[in-house]
Amino acid sequence: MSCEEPTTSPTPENNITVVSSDGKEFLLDLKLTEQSETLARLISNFEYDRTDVKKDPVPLGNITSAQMQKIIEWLQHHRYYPKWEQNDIHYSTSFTFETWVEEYLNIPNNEMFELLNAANYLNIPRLFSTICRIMASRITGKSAEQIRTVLNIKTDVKNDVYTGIPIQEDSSSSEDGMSEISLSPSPPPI
Amino acid sequence: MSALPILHFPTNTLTKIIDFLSVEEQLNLSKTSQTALKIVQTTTALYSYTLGIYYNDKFEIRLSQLSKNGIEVGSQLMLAGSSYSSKIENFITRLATVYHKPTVCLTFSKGLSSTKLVTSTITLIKSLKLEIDPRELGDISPPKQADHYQDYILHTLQTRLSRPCEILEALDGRVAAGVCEVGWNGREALVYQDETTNEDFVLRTDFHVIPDSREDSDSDSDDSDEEDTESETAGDCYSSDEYGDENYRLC
Repeated sequence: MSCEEPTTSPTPENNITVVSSDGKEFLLDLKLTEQSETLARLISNFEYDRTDVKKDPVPLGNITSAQMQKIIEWLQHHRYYPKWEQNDIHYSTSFTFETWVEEYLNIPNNEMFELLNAANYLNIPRLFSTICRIMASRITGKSAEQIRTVLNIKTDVKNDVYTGIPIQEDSSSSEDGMSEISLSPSPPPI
Repeated sequence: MSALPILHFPTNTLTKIIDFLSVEEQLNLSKTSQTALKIVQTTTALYSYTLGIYYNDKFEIRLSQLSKNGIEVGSQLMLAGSSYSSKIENFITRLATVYHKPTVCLTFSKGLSSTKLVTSTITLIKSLKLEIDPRELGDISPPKQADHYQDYILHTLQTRLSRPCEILEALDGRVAAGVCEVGWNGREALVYQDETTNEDFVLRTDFHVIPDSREDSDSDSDDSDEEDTESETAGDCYSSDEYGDENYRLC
């Protein structure tokens, strides 16, 4: 999905200032903050959408300036997207992302983790959901042993959780005979 | 690139990620550690599931995810082997563990010859304390409570209004009157009765039991073999002549 972005110039009346944890200030268009349920609620509660109300800077103690920069980039890109609707909570057989998103989230895992937490904190559902989908895509098609490696999971059991059979290091899918049980292509979620 | 510390994510984040995973991946994730198992279980606890076990040449196991109002929101079909084996047991056990004892729908599409398969499957289901979904018993009219329905079946079994009940003895003797044909509103039902609790489970209603006209050509099955011999040929499960003089099949 792509949306044409008309150019607008922020004015003091239609923006607020947020302050990151490291003290950097960002001027945010009110239109952008609609994508963040946390900010939208805050603006609504303090009536910051009224021109006659003095707008104090909003401290975001959990978000660094680097994360805020990244989030503003996301908000800008999705400025004219339709309101996010929660319609993708179930698994999909394939994960596809638009090119811009793939480039945007082509970041190290630790940054992805921090961005996910920031999206969670600011309650930006489209970004939050997208990162979760990206993370799910990294698990897709992997055996238990591969998932252990990718997610750095230290197994806390010596035996298989279900069968009691000792887990062997490289018996990723055969430890319970699952290797011979195939999963057919799933029908698309209704 | 550093590994993602996914198990340390907040619960809502983990739930969201696991929601995007298929059954296979959820199962694989649940196998990685006890912590991961608990996390997957936390997510799957938000939904209810129906486990469909079908047999038609091969085991087909369908896990359907239901929303709170009972509408199916997703499902995944898994194809297993043609013989009842420890693999199937482990797999169903795993599904039951991860997906919080889903309600089970049972359909055995072919061959009363697979009585062993039927009884083994039901014994497993009962050992896992899973419920068999009465909604899958056919179009019951008027709708009855499961207990009433079981009483009705029991009554029908006792009175045997239509053809005599054909008693097929299970191989291990656990089910003396395990699989019966009963008349029921002009229809027939395949009923499994647990001899210890006298509980009845109707497996199918949409069939007729007819004599199998086939000759004893498939004589390669051996009842004394245990199921874990892992032969994947349909004949091992399907030899319709393993029950003696009369052969039956469901159609």
